[in-house]
Order: sequence, then C-alpha cells, then structure tokens
Amino acid sequence: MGNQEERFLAAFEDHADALFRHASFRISDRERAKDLVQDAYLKTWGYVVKGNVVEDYKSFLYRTLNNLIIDEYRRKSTDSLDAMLESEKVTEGAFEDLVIDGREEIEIAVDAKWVSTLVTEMPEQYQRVVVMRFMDGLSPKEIADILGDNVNAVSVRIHRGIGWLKRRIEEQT
Amino acid sequence: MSKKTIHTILTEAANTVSLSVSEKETMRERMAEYIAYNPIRPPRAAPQKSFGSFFDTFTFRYVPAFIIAGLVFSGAGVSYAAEGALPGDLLYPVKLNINEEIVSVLTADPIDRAVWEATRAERRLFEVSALAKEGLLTNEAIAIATDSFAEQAERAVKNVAELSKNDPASAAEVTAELESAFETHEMILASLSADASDSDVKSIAAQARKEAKRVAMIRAEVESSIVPEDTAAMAKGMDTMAMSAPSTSDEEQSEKADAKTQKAAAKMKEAAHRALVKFTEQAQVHQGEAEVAGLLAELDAELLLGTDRFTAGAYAEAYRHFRTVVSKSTRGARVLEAEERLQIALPIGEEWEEAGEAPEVPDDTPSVNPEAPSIEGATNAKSSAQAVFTALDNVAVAELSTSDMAQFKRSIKEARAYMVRGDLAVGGGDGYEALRLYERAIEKATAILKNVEGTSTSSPVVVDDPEAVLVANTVHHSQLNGVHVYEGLVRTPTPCYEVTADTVTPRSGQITLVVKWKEIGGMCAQSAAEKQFSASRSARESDMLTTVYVGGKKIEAFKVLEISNEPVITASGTATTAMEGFIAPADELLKRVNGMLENVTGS
Repeated sequence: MGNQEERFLAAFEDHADALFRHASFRISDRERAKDLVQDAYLKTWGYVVKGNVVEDYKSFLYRTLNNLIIDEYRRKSTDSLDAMLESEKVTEGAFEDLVIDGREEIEIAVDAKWVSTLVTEMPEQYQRVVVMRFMDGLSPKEIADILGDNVNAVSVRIHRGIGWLKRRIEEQT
Repeated sequence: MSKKTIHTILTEAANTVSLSVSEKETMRERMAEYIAYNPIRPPRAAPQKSFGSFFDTFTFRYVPAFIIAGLVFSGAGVSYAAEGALPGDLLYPVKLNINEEIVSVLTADPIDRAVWEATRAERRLFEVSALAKEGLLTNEAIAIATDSFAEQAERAVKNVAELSKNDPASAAEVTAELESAFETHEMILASLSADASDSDVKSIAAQARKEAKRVAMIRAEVESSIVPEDTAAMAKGMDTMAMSAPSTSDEEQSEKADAKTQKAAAKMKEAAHRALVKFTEQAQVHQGEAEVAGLLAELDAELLLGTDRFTAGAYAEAYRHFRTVVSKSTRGARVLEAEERLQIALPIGEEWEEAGEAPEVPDDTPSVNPEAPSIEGATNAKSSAQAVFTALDNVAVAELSTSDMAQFKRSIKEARAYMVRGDLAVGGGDGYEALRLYERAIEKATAILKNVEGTSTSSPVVVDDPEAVLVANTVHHSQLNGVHVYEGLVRTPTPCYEVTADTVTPRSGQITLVVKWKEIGGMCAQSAAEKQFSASRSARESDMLTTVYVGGKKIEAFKVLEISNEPVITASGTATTAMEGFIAPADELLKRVNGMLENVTGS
C-alpha cells in the first residue's frame, strides 16, 4: 500500500470519531451523521485520487464535513437559515466581548446529556463554532482556518454561543 | 450533582457521543473498498477516459451521496463501469438512463433536483470535451452527444425555471452557478476546436452559449423579484427622504422586500463560501501560479466586501458581491479541472463580469435606446483580428527556442479560441459579445506579436495597411449632457471612399470608436484625400474613449482633443503603449502651458 493510502487510512483512524461527534451535534441524527462523515472521507479521497496532496487532513476533513453539513441545512426547512440570519445581524468584532477564557463563568449543576440536547438546538452559526471549540477541542485559530474566517470573528461567535447556552440553562433551571 | 463550568459540561457532553466499534469497523471496510476501487493516479497525469467519476468536484455537489455510494458499493459492476462511458460507448445508455436516472428519481427535493439536472447537463459537455481531446468524435458520437446535451439542457432549464417560481432565492443561486458553468464549457470547447476546423465541437459550444443565455434570462428575472436595482434602491431612498410621512403600507412593503433580499443575499453568501472553498481546494496544486493566486485573493476580498455590506444591511449590494464570487469561483474551478484533464491552457480569471452582460444603459438618459452594436461592427473587429493573425503566421519564429516555441503555440491557440467564440457570438446574433471577444483576440494576438518581436532577432513581417491612417492620430471630442461626439479625419488613398463611424461600449465606462470606410467605385483621381467622420454616443459624462479602430486596425496610441482645446490624454493597450501615448501629448501640453505663461508674463 502506498504512502498516500496509508496517510488516508491513518486520518480515518485519527479523526473519524471526532468528526462523527461533530456531525452528531450539528445535525442531531446519528445515522445521517455517519453518512456525512463517510461522504467527507470519500470526497477527500476523491481529491487525493486526482493527484492532489492533502497537507493537513484534520482541517481538510473538517472543512469538507462542514460544507456537507451546510448542504444538509439547505435541505431542511428554512429554520436554520432564519437562525443564521438572526445571528448575522450581530456585528462582529466588539473587542470588549472577547473574554472567553471562562473566568467569568458561573458554575452550574446540570446534566451533560441535557446540555447535549441544548447544543443541537443552538442557532447554526453559534453551534458550529461552539461544537468545534469545546466538543472537538479545536483552537479558535484552527476553527478560523477551517471556516475561512478571522480569529476575532470566531472568538466573538464562540462567546456569544456560550452566552446563548447560559441563558437557556438559566431559564430552565 | 456537583457544580461545574459550562465548558467542562460541554466537554463531558462530547464524551457521551462516539462511534461504536462495529460502526467504525464497517466504515473502515468501506474506506478500504473505496480506495481499492479508486486507486491514485500520478499527479497531473494525462487525461483518462473516466470522465464521470461520481465523486469528482464537478459532478457532485448536493446530490445525495448515499444514493450514489449505494450504487457503487452495491457491487453493480455494469453500473459502476458505465460511469466512465462516453457517447458512442456501449455502456453510455446505462450511464444516462440507469445511473443518472436513478439519482433523478430518488432526488425529491426541488433544489437538489435542479442542481442534479444542471450537473447532468454539465456532464454532457465534459463528455464532448473528452471526446474532442482524444480525437474520438465520430459522426455517431457527435450525434449522440448533441442530442443528449440538448435534451439534458432542456431538463436543467425546466427544473431551474420551476424552482424559480417557488424558491427564487435558491433559483438565483443555482442559475448563477449554472450560467457560469455553461459559459466556461463554451470557452473550453471553443479552445479545443480552435486549431481544428471542428465544426461539430463548435456547434455544441454554440449550443452551450445559447443555454447560458437562457439561464441568464431566468436569473435576471429571478433577481428582479428579489434584489432591487441600484437605481431603484436609490430612488426609494430619495422618495423616503422627500416624503415626510410615508404611509404604513409602503413601509411594510419595503420591509418585506428587504427581508426577501436579505434572505437571497444570505443564501448567495453560503453558495459563495462553498464555491470558493471548492475552488481553493482545486487550486492547491497550482500554488505559486500568479494568475490563480491573484484570482483567489480577489475573490477573498470580494467575499469580505460582501460580508461587510451584509452586516451594514446593504443586502442588494452584498448579494452582487457574493454572486460575483460564485461565478468566478465556478469558472475557476472548472478551468483548473479542464486544464488538468485536457491539458489545455485557458484564461482563468480575466474579464469575467463583462461576459454576457448587456451594454450599460446610461442612468441619466433613460429615453435613449441602449443600442446594441451591430454585427457589422463586430465583423470589422474580426478583420482586424485576422490581420494580426496573418502577421503572426508570417512572423519568423525559426529562431525561437523549443520552450519559447511551445509557449508561442499555446498562446496563439488561446488567442484563436477567442476568435472562435467571436464567430459563435456572431452566429448567435450577439454583436456586443462578438465585438468583445474579437477585441480580446486582437489584444492577445498583438501581445504575442510584441513578445516575439522581443525574442526573435529577425524582424517579423507585420501586415501594414498603408490605407489605414487616422490623421494626426487624433480624435476630437465634445460632450454635452452625456452625449459624447467624436470627430476626426481619415486619409484615404483616393477620394472615392465613403467613411462612416460608430461607437460601442464594450464595458462600463469605456467607449470604443470604430471608423470604417469602403470604396464607392467610379472614376477617381489617384491622389489621397482626407475625409471627415463623426459619431456620437449617449453615455455617462465620465465615460472615456479607450479604443479606436480605423479600417479594421486598432490605433495603438491616439490622442483625444477636447473641443475646448484642452488635450486629454488617452492611450490604449498595454502599459507601455499607455506610456507612449502619454509622453507625446504631455510635451504638447507643456508647450501650450509655457506659451500661456509667456503671454501672461509678457502682458
């Protein structure tokens, strides 16, 4: 087996679980999440087959999966789009909002499972970055690279996403 | 339950989700199987015949992957083999009527459906390129390919038209991409048929162009309902300012329209992002190529600009930025793919916006007919292009090195592709587009000529028509309320010539003057004569004369003299000619200023 094949299969072993977790939180449909992860790998291989070299499998796979998920949203109703529009109104880059290191966090007692459900209900724009940041453990810089956005915008969105979650938790506890 | 920060809870939540061992095992097996089915081919390899691999970037977008994957993995050997079939192959009908049809039938979502039918139409065009490239275009194959494309294009257009009724925002997105795709394929096919007198390929290219226009019309219609024109938006703004108390219903209506535009812009943004990512992926192997890098940077900027406008609430403007990204990325990705597979050189990012757009109607003179340039004007440009090509044919290239020679041939082919496309446009009755394409051919061919002159020691034979003389290389210009008048003198070999002049607007803000003459016969004194010409055009006050053709020849450095006697310097062509054009009149200007100074100080 050639080097490329080995690298690809290694990328499967290394990232399949994380990608699946990511997809599950984003679309809350286990079977569909599996399909999408598989598609992401197949598309990536299709890209390699054409003679291209993937330098960084992790971010390439995330980017591909992310596009597939966006397509998935398109297929659903316009709910997610409206949610996106809602979040788009937010002007990005307010630096005073950029405190996301958690020091200001209140401590709460809630069930992780319930939080998982809440995450699947988040507006798409926040959900994407929050899942990447906390569920997938990606740094804001990595997220920015994957989404083709700047780090500030990503950080602000993460912060607002956490704010959204906190409000939900407070409302319901 | 102990208290934790929300970050900890999220991390814990993440740990509750994972693939089971058996799920992962199944997936791993599929990967291995898929890799075995699709082995790696060497980078930038010669084109292969497998043009319809289901998973390539061209042909696979939203179409449900599981359907296709199912087909491939089900072990349907014939179905799998048919994917690579081309018109005329035994398995081609299987590809069309079984493989693709199954996907059509199983794709219920109207957006997916429209995209898939569009993709199918594009696949037909790629098949033609593949056949043409490999010299496999038999009469039978071409007949099948022509019919298949016509039929599929009809289906694609029908689906898009249908979608536009119920979901205009999505239709706008699909049409933006499809229009660009058709246009790019037209260019690819024209380029393939440029050096062969391949009338069949040309006719399919012409068909692609026709379909692109049809899609453009649907897009224009869709956009008119969701994106207000600039002028309309401005007028709306002014109305609101003028009226002290706008009625509630008006406000409601405008809010509703805004929401529609906002939605369309948001959709187009997603499409732009996706298209750009696809193009970026495609461009990874072309790292370091200035043209590709330049286009990527430009598109990044365009996307940012769009996002900025979106945030500011200027949705119509944002929409246009995003659409540009979609069009250009679509074209870029396809061009790179075609270059790789067909081993041809294509221009990747130039002059995209202008393509296919109608000449602009000046805002301030709505009563003036927008005036489509005549086919005759284009024909004139064609003859000048031909003259340059003749010059190129006669140029002494024996002394060129092998690599220079290859480059030389490739460039000529590229330039000739514009000629072919110009011909196609003439065939389609589109004078404006034809002129634009012929001009482009002239520009390219002239650049090659200059280049060769630089590298070759023997001087090339340049066709020099002694009749083509614009007296003093000068055009007089006056302008009143947006009506530009251009006048000048042309020297003809005998007095028995009729001189006419015409103007066109090849792109926004630019005016091209075309001066023609023809011999009227009869008994003539064999002495040169000077004839006056005059042409006018309604345009914006700021519009500039950028190109002048006289008797089918482009005047490289001309002067525009304002009737008020203030010289305005205009030069056409490349930067060097712009400089050349600049220097001479600047001297003249200096003299004039010095003269004025002397008068002032003398008195």
